[in-house]
Amino acid sequence: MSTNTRNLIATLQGGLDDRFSCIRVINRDRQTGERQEGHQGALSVVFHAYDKVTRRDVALKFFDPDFQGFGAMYRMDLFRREAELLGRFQGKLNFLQLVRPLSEIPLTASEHGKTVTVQCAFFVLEWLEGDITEYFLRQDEYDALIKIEVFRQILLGVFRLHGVGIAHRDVKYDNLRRVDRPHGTVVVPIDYGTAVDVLSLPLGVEGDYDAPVGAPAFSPLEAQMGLAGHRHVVKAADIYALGCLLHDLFNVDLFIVRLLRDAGFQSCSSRCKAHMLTVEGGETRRLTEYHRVLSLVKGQVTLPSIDSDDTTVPASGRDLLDRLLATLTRVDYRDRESELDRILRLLDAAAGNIRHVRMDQRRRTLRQVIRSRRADRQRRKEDRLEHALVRLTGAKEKSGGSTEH
Amino acid sequence: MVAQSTEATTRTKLTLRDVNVEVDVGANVGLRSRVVFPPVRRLLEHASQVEPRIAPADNDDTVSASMDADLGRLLERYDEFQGSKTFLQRASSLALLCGRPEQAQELAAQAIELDAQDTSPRYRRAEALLALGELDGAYREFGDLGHAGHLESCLRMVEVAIRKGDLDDAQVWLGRAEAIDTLDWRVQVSAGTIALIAGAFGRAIHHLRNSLEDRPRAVRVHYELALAQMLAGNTKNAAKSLRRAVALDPFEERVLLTWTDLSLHLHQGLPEVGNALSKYLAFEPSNSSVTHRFADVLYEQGLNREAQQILMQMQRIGDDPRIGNNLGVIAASRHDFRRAIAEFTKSVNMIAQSDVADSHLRGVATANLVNALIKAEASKTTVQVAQEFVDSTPLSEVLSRDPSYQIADGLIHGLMELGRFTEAVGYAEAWVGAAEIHPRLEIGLLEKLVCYFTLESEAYRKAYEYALRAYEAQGALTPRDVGLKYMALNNLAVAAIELAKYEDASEYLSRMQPAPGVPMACGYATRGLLALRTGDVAKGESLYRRAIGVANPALKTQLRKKLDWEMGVYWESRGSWKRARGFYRNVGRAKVDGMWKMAYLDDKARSRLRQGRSGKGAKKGGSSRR
Repeated sequence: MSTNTRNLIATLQGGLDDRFSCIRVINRDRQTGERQEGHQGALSVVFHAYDKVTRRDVALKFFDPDFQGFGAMYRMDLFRREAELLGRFQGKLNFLQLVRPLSEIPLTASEHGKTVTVQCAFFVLEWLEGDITEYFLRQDEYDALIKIEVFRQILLGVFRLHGVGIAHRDVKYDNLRRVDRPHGTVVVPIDYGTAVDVLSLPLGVEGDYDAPVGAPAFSPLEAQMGLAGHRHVVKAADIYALGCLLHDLFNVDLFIVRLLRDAGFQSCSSRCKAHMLTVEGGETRRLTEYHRVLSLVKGQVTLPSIDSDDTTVPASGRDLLDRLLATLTRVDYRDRESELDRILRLLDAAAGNIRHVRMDQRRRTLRQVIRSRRADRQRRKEDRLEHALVRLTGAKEKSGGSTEH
Repeated sequence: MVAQSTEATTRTKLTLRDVNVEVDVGANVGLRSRVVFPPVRRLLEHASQVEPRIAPADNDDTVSASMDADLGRLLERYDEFQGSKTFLQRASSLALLCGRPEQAQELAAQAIELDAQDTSPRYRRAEALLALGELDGAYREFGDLGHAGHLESCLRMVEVAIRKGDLDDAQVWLGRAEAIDTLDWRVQVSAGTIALIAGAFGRAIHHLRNSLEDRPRAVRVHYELALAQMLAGNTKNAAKSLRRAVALDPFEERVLLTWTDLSLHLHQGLPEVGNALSKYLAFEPSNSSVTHRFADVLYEQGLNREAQQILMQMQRIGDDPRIGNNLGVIAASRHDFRRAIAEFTKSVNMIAQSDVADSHLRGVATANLVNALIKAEASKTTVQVAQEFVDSTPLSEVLSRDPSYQIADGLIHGLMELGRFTEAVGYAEAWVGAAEIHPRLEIGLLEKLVCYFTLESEAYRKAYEYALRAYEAQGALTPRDVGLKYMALNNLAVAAIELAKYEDASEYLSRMQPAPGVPMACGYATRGLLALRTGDVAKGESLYRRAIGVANPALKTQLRKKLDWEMGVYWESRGSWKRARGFYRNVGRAKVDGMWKMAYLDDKARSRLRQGRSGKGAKKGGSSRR
């Protein structure tokens, strides 16, 4: 039973600080406080609320009050780091905005006739609507150019983060919101639970990174090799996830599903994994060993093309998008494209190609219509002339006949 | 001159346990059958007429990813997106990957309900059925889709047919796949694989090469191509393909072992193979198969000390008869026969005590022991060990299998060394007529018989017959057996000279091609003998002297003895008894230190000397050649 969480939910029902009202829990069961089936977030309990001051919806993010025991300190550090990173975005409108920095509320509970007080850490964020999942899970219903535009905004959103020295490490469509800002529509990454300052030191110790820190389907090979905490690879991991998103915008199967079908990738992955299991030592040594083994086995990997049996990518943009996908998802993180300009150039060129081909098609259709109309007009004119001629001839014959008589 | 049998110098050979060649049929297209071929050595031995045995092995499905979290997160949106085909299909394929085929099937079925015309969700449902073990339903669905022109389903049906061993059906489905898209690399891989299994190696090479144009990084396609090239007899290209495959994935053990075995067989590119093996061992030091081969490669490169170090290190980890055998081989190559015999004996004993009967390994170790004993001139023990092996093993196996046949050869050799010619000749004459006999053993035995009848019993007609048979049996030899071929012709020429068929002898001698490693002394001596018999004494003597100059010590004495005898006969026939007597005396003085003592020449020389003393020399012009 999640006693503390249940108490927290009950406590917040009445509002918080006379500022936040209509509070409802998002990722827990309202009655029991248990994590809802399917919800994976482990760090926090999230509430939706209304801020009476700003008159806008907000999200209250609480450190899970039931999380105790081994690793609690580490998790608390992660929670603090998230709040600290969000604090850096104050006033930068294209980022997620913090409404209230890290605070604590006392949570009182009675157990066995004794009253216990637990301090609950939380911070408040702006609530963003603008879920972009539609574009991915109904990708067949959207036009390619719209999807390319969405991807462009995602790209800018993630690179904006990189620009301020932060890597998200859990880039996926669930964690992206498309919102209107004063300078136009932007995509804003949310959920900074795994985000890091690329110049900071890892908070975890050896063994905390056996699995990727983000969603496995969007995690690159190096993250699966226990290097997810290494600051050298974090930006490249985001770029890989961007590649996966680009692929998933145009295909039914996830990128990872298709990648796992490649025997070369399977072999490369298992060789790296087998070797990394034997490596002992610090982060630097692990990274060196990873480079060593990867350079030997990466040659056999054939990356999935954006063009599958079920793809919705138009033929006119296929080659360029394929090239872009390859540059974003290379197995070796050092080979992935990290220059936004070059990525945008490829993306814009692909969009341009699609647009030009369509315009050309439209022009051709239009010309055809005009030509057929012109032909119709001509035909009608000829018909009219013929009729007139027939009428004229008929009249002459009539008048001529009467003369003879 | 003198008929000679080939020496036992090349017999002691490092032989390791063979590893079967395995191919994941169409692994690059998601197919899962594995085909097991015989080991490289056997493939190469029978490359021209091979019908590879195939045995589908267990599935080795390495796809295992913990995508549960992703699936859970995706299914959170079920209510919202249950009307989307993309959502349902994506969730279905993810569920299949997570090992939830039932869920995958259900989601695919919902996608089919949304659009019954779309083949993609139907294919996914069939995949889920396959994972559920509902084979009939899956095959039916794949079949229907295949008929409707779905390429992947056709390829699936190809796989199904291969698994059932029905190559005709596989060809039918492949034909359908080719009709849909013949240029698709997956179609080409499947076509190549089917051709490979069916034994149409040329076609297999063509298709696999085509598929590599599209997928140059597919290690397994390179591997299958190498196998097809190997079976087509193009070992050089096979080695190149394997080299490429190893460069792409240096840790693919099967490919690495096949490349090593092939390179060892060809004796080419060994330094490169050694590098690849050492690279592999830097990452996987505990792999005994690769370590064994690394030692083998080092040994073949002449790096005996390094090979020995590796084997001793392995011996410290765990004793294995193979390690003992190989250490013995290295010791033998350094002429340390005492150590070699000790190691081989230990190895043979270990195999005998082992619960698992490995007849090949037993044959290898015993053959090596017998060869080492021959080298150490321990003829009695040689005969004892070889006799024991021959008695305890089916005769057909002893005579036909490599290296067991070497033990039979060693037995004859030992018996002859001990002077037990009757037994040796009895065995040899019985065995050369056997239905199943290794060509090298047959020629070896025939040569021994030729030697015996030429050098010991003077039965030249019989010797000629056997020499002719040995010559005819050469067809079964490989181009590498140049020494054996040379000696067969030489022996035939000797027997022909002894039968006074000088023109035939001259013909045989002209066919002998000198090559590195063949004993040239015999050729010179035989030419000298022909010259002596045809009256050109100066040339004959000069050729004999040349032969003596290049011969090994044992052969030197034999050649001297024979020359002295021939010169004695010549001078006696010319009436110069004084000169002849000197040569006859020399014949008696020369003691041959080897198997063929040529004792009959001693007897004949003594008899001539006796006759000469009583009759003051033979009559001028008297024939005394025999």
